[in-house]
Amino acid sequence: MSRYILSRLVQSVILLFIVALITFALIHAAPGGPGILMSDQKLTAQQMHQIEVALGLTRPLYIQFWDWLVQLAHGNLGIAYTSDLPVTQMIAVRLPATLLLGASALALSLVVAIPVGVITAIKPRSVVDNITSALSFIGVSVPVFWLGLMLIIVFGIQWKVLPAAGMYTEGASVVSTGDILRHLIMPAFVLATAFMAGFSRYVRTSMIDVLSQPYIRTARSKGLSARVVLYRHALRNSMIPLVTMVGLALPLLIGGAAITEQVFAWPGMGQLAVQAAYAHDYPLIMGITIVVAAAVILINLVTDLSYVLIDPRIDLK
Amino acid sequence: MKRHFAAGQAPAPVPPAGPDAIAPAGEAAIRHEPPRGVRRAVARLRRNPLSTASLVYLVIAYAVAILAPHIAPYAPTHMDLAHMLAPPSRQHPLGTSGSGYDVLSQLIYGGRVSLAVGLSAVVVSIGVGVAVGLTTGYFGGWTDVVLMRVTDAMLTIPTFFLLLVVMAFFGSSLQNVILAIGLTSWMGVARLVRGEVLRVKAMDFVEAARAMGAPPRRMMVNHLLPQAGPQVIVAASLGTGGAILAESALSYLGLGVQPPTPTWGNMLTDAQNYIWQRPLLAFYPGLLILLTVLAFNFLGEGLRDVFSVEN
Repeated sequence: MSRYILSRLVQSVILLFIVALITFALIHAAPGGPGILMSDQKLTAQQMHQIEVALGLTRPLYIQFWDWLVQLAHGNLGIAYTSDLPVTQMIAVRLPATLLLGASALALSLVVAIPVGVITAIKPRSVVDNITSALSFIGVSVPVFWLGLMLIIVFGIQWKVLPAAGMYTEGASVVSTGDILRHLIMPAFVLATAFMAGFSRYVRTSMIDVLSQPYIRTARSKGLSARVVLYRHALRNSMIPLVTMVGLALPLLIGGAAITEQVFAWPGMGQLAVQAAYAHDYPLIMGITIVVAAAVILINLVTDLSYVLIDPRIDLK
Repeated sequence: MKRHFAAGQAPAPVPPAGPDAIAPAGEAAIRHEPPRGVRRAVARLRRNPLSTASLVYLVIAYAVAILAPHIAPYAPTHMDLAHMLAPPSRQHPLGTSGSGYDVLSQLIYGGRVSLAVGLSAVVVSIGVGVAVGLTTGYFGGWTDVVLMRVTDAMLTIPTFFLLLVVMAFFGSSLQNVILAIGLTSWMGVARLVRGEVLRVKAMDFVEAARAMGAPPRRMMVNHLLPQAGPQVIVAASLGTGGAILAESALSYLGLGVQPPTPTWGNMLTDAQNYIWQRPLLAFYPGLLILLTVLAFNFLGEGLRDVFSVEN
């Protein structure tokens, strides 16, 4: 057990190192390199050089990388070019909004997907199954930003029932939970759409699979009610692979959140990343990428370890 | 030839039909007809109305994109300054944009970028994915460990952020958009091909080819790759839809192909400025993205059914 945990920990650290290497290599391979930000301004070559020296950009790459790694290990992500604030601080300010949006969308998608998946698995090829199947195709094919714009037009502009942008009403003296929730509805739904579709298909497949297992027949022949068989025996077992699916979907969820934030002017980390990309703020975008990747790696590590607790059949080799 | 071995038949008495014949091409090729397998697959695909409709839609969409200069009423850069933000009229069937561009013409030309990027990015991602999958699956050992760790790392980074980094620091040319999307979406294909290679590696026909002294490259390309072919084709169709979504998202964020070259994505960005006055401007480009991605997804699923019935 402890050997398994240790090896998964080492794997996670190696993964994070590779992620750091890829991100670093990418930015330094770019024409102009990280100093490109300065080239927008009218500076002489000499001034430009001075800035590069001051930022440490003239040192050998492996030293820069090592330096960055050491700082990273200390939780220091450098200073953003565009604001002169520590990157960690900028991320910390934006993180709660993204967490709120991402967690709500994930919860919403699961709350919809699990019952839908179960219902369609009980009666495959029924009318309900066909309709949800068509809807889920649309769900995974629709561009997030377009769906967002359409909802803004209908609910925000035509009917004026929901706020069109932001996280709370501008100029309000007190920010109330209700106000934030009203602002959250549309972005959370938009972000959840693709995942509702994907997860419900997944639950359906894995439920159909589980329902054909011998132990389900045994449970039924023991005279257990259909409900108990379905929820206690079948659903529980088909949930296990879903946990993996959710882990794999996390990077997509965070990427989707970035676009959603942009559409709804939601003040989260994704919006910050897009702004950093516009401004060529490389410590900032590198910091965000690393933080996001680390979060994904950590969550996957936790889910992997929790498996061992949930499912005694899992072999630790 | 390999199929014959795989099916457990005696080696066919005909001489090898050519070094690279993969499909059961032999006799059919002489009669200049599509091989029976392909014809059967097409027949099966045609029984699926959604896949057929998708295929028809895609053929039309690509035809319109290629023939854009002959079909579009105006050049994509033609500005009608007297009629900015005009409602639909005989002159401008779908109206004009805020800068006076003809919306219909822009939609027709905008499709060129999306459709071209979709296909080219998938060529890149399938190429890298197949190469990584074949080498890791065939050689195993350290090659496998290192390359699969890189694959895992790529799956961990939200690729959208990598796209942001690439577009911001390398510039947003058409070529960069294609490479960026292709190089951030090959991981699924690599895993798929690797799995398939591991599955068939121990089979008799592979052993036979190895015993006959086939070099690694020929082993991989002629013997192992064809086994993963159907799955790769399905992945390519689904992947094209994904690539089109990614391209339109980048364009929408202003990090993709830049105006005045119209794309469905950057038309939306522009339309967003006028959603109070002309909400429909934002409707059209997104609808076309949705339909196109939907078509690729339906086609992919249809192909999956066709192939899974065959095996």
